[in-house]
Amino acid sequence: MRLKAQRKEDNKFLVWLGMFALVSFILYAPRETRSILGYEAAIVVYVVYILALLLLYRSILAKARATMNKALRYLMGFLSVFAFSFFLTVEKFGGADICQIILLCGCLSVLLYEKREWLVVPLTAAAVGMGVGYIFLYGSIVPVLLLYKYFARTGARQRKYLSLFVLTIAVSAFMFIFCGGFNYFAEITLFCNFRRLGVFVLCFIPYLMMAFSFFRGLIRGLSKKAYGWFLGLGGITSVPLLALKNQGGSCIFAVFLFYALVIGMLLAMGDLDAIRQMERLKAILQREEPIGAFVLVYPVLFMPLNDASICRTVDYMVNLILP
Amino acid sequence: MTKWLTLLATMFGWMIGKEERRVLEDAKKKKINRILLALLVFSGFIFFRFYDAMVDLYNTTLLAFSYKYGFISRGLVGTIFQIVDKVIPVDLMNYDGAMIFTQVTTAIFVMILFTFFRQCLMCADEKMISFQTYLILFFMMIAISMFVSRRNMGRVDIYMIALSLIGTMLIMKKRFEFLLIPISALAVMFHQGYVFMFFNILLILLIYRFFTVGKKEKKKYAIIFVLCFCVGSALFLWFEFFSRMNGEQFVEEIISNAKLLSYNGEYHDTLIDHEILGIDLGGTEWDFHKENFVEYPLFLLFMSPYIWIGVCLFGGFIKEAKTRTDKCKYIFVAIGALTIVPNYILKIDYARWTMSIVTYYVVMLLSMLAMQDEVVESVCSSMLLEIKKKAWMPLLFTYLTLFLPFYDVFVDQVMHNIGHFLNVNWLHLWEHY
Repeated sequence: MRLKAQRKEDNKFLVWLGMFALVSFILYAPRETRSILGYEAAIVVYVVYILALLLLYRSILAKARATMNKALRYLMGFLSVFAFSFFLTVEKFGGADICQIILLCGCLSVLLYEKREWLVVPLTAAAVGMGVGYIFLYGSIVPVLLLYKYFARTGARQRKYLSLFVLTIAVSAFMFIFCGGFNYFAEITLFCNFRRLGVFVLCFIPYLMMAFSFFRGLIRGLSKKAYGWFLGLGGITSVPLLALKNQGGSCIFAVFLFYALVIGMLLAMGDLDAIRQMERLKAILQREEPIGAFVLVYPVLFMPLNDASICRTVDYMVNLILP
Repeated sequence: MTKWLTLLATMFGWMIGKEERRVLEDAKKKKINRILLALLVFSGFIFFRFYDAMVDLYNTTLLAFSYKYGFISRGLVGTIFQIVDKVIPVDLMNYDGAMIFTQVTTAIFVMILFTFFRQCLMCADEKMISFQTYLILFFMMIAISMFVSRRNMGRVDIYMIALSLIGTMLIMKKRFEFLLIPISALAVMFHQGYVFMFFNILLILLIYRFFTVGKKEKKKYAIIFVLCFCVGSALFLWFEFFSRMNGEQFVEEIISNAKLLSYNGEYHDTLIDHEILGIDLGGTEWDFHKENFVEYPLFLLFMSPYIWIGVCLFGGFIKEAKTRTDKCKYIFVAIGALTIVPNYILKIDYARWTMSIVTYYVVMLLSMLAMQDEVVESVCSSMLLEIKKKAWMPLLFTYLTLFLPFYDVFVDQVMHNIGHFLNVNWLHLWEHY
């Protein structure tokens, strides 16, 4: 009965998250798109993207312990603030990135339910095939989680995850080469938005500290610390795109996506170290109540992210304070 | 001997109690200062997010109005602006001057806002600090985003709200309450719409005090109420029906000053037509009414969680009231916002009317908590526990941000986009886009 009530509350939360997505769409949806799919198809792709994210959230909430659900809702809220608005620009609406994340949600769902996990290989191949930038932006999430599962299991299952990890990496590399990945950096636009990025990082210091504290505690608690470092540093694979393609907004979004989904998946898979660290963070925020209420409303002031100027708020701060 | 020992023990106990009370008060002050600092920093980011660095035509044209042309409607802000222009050794009669003046007055408005918040937090019971902080956060997000954005930067509403807050602080502190009379006068002089928008805060608080205090003090509040009401009403009638008689004599000078003050060398023609020449604009605004009639019910639907919270709170006060007098008091408090109804029928600035309703209920709640009303404390505490259990609780403030800033005629960009879509594809009710 308690489980049923918990599921009901989770579904209500997801409905409200869906409302948040709808209002974000109404507010930010572009009037046109550069996607080859066309405007109407781009809307359909966006709706599928939202549904994929919400279904993934639902799976994570269903699998996780009841005590973690409140923390997970905050984590999902944080990710959604950026995820729902990021692709509502003329350049990205209906683009490859949004389709890649739909496939990524599929990969994470099969890993969560541990059914037909071999699907991560073709899904990853398809994602890289849509755009080789996937490897740098979102491609580290699945290998990192496969590695986690390898270290967390024993015997035949451990071998299965090792095989899946190797196959995923191999397929990604093959698709990268096949789809002209070596030409990807033929045209370079060096990153120049240092002031904006610096200001953005400064503004998000509290969140960086929380993430740092979480992973430091996680790594300290692990018996095999190696994969803890993969979990903690897996989000920095987007740095080449930041440095050589001037995609500030995309890389920041990719970092948020990586850490939110990895933490969510660890909690959903019942990792005791992750649960312990989340309980610790929860206790700190509850102690700081009511200031803890700002934790989800503050990021909204920095949406939507974009590649040109990171976001409007930061752009304005830089123009005003550091002209 | 026993008597002296008892006296000594009592004094000692009082001193320890005093020390304990001082430690607790210091802890409370420290907590409040941390909360206010967090709110101040947060409001800084709200400013960066929504600031458009622009004062709209309407608000620059208003600065060209002045009492040198007579006791005209909405002339106070322009009079102050032009006095400041004469006093300081900088020429303000240009757009940059108007911008500086507006930035300074907006900063003063924010200072008054934070002074009010501080007073509410300090006077309230410590267990209500969390609830008050959420309420302050809610109001601050709406107010600051609205009054730093292009359409409302420099809007006279900030002066009216500031004066209502000053009056509220005087009522809360029970000091210099007679000043409510000149405060009411000044507020109506800024904009005669004050009587419908923010006057209810002072009047209902006076009624609240009247029902709360003993027989001796009731007379004082009754007198202040009657005087405020009479002064506000008299000034409203003057500005609305008699102040536009000689507009033609000075309209050209006002227009030429308005052009100097604007960003593009133009002036707001409908403002001049209505307030200086007394031309009725009702017929020209019907399209905007139609748009609001479509968009506003949808807006209320999107705002349903917040409306639900408000109804539960104010309904809860009436339900929990123990005596008939208390019930009467809370009924007045609950329906006090109805003074805005004529504006919804006759005028088109639905976003500003929404802001006035929000301001009323938030200020009423904060001040009743500051006055340590037990029924209000009890209902608010239960409501907070109830909200914390709700699944949508994490999104409560996040969701609100999408609807900011409030505009003036159209409620906000979200509703304007929906209305535009519906009108272009199905309704075809209004022509402007």
